[in-house]
Amino acid sequence: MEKAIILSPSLINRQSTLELIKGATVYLGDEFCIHKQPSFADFTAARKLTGKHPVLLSTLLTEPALKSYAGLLSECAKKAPGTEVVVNDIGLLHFIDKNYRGRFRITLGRLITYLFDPKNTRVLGSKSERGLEGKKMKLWESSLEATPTPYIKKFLKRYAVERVETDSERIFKKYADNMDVKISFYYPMRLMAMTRFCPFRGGISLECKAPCGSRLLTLRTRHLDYPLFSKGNAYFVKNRLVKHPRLDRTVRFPFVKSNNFKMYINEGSLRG
Amino acid sequence: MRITVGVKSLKEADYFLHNGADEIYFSLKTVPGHRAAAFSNEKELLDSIKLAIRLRKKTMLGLNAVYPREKYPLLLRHARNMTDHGLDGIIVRDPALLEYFNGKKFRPYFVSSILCACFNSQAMEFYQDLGVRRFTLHSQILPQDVKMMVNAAAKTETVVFAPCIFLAANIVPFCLCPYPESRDPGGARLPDHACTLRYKCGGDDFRMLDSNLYFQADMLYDFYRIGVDWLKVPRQLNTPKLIADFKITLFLNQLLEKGIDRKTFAVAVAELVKRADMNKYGKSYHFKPFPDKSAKHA
Repeated sequence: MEKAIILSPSLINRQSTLELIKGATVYLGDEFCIHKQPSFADFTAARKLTGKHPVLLSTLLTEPALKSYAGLLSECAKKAPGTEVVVNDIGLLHFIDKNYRGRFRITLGRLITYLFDPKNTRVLGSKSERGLEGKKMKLWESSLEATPTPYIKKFLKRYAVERVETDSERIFKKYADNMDVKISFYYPMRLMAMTRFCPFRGGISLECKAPCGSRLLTLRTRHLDYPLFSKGNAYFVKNRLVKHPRLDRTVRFPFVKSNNFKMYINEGSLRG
Repeated sequence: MRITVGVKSLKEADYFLHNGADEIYFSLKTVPGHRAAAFSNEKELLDSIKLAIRLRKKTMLGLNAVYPREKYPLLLRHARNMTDHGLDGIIVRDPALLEYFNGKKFRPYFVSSILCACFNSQAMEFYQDLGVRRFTLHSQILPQDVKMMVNAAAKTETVVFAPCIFLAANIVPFCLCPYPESRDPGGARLPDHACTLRYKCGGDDFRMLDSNLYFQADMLYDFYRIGVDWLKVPRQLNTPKLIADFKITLFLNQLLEKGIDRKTFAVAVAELVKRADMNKYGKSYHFKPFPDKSAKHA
C-alpha cells in the first residue's frame, strides 16, 4: 500500500525533511490554509529532494489564492504534465476542467467528499449514548444525509476523477461499494472543523509565514469526552485506519505535540 | 443593501414585511431545509407568499439540505406548487438537486446557500452553469476578496450575513463538530456549539477564535461599500432573538445608507451590539414564541 505524507512548502528545504518523508509520496501544500499553497519553485524543490513528482494538495481558494494557484498549474501543465492534484475546492475543479482537462490527474480531497456527505460519523473514544456503538450506531448512520450516488458517479466521470479521499470509514465504504475509483484514507487524525480565523495568528491573515509549523495542540473541555486537536487552521479528532481491500493509499501529516503553546484569546468576541 | 429574513410563521412574515424586510425566506417542516425553524403548515406559508406579493416584496423557499434521491420528486412538486403561487426563488445547497431541477426544466431564480462553499469566481461559475443567480457568501471571505470574485464572475446578486449578528467561527459545511440538541454523537449533551466552548490546552485557556466587533463592523462597512446586494438575518426558533437580530441589522443598514463614515460606524456597531446584549435572548436554537408585545430590546 502506498503511503503519503502532507508537507507544507516551508518544510521542503529543511535538512530533516527527507528523514520525515521515509520514502512516502509527498503531498505538497495544505488542505486548510491558503498561505501554505506551493509555488512552482517549491514543486521543483520537492521533486529534487525525493526524485519524483509531488502530489499537489490544495484548499478552499479565495480569488487571489486561486489566481496564484492558476500560475502554479500553468507551469506544471507545461513542465510536469500528469501531476496529481488533490482538489478541495469546486471552483478549482471547474477551473482545471475548463483549462487543463487531461493535463493533470484529478483527486477529490476530503473537503469535497464531505461536501457530498456533510454529516460526521463516529468519534473514537467518545462514550456518548447516541450513535457510537452497535445498533445505535447503525440507526444513526442510516439517517445520514448524502448526495445521491448516481449523481456522484456521473460527477466523477464528468471531471475525470481518478481518486477520492476521505477520513470517514463510512464514506470510504460508500465509494468502495459503489464506485470504481481509487480511494485514499487519512489517519491518524480526522477532520472536525476548519476556519480562516487562525489560532496561531489571531485572525484572518493576508500574509503569513506559517508560525503554526507542525504544532499539534491538544484541547480538552468537560463537555466533550474526547480531546480535540488543533493544527494549522483546522481541528481534528483521533482516527483509526480503515481495513478494506480497496484501500491503496494512506495519508498522514507530521506533527509535534506542543500543549503549552500560548494561544491568542480574542477578548473582543461576543461569545461570552 | 436589501434585507432578507428567515421566518417560520405567518405572524413573523407579517411582522417583518411590515417593518422593513425586503424579502422573507422559509421552509416547511415536512420538507425541511438546513435549519429546524420552519412553517408547520403549508397554508400559512402560502398566505405569507400572498402577503409578500401584496406588499411587493419577495419570497424564497429554502431547500438547502442534502436530500436523498427518492425525495426529489416530492421536492419538485413542492417547489413548483410554491412558484405557481408566486414564490420568487429557491435556496439550494446540493448541485445534484440543481441538476435534477434543470433536467425537469424547472428553472426558477436559484440562490446558492452558504453551504455551497463558494470562495472564488470559478466556484460561482460552476453554480451559475446550474442556474444560480444569487450567491450567499461566507463571512470568512474578506470584502476585498468578495469584490475580486464578483468582478471576475458573470453578473450576479450577492448576500452576506451581518457579521456582528452571525459570524461563523468555523467554515460551514466543513464544521463536523456535534451540534447542541442534534442527533450527532455527543450533541444531545452539549450546552452550545463546539466553537463557543472553553477549552484547556495544557495549562492554558483556549477558545476557537472568531473576531472582535470592530473587525466585524469594518467587514459590514466594506460589504456595503463594494455593493453587496442583500443582508441576511438567519431563521431561528427563538423569535425574540430573531426580532432583535433584525432590528440591529435594519438600523446598521440605515446608518450605512445615510453615508456614515467608517470610524463612526465601527463605534456605533460596538456600542449597539454591546448595549443590546444578545446573550439575554438565549440561544437561537431554543424555541421561544413570538413576544406578546413588540420587542423593545434592540
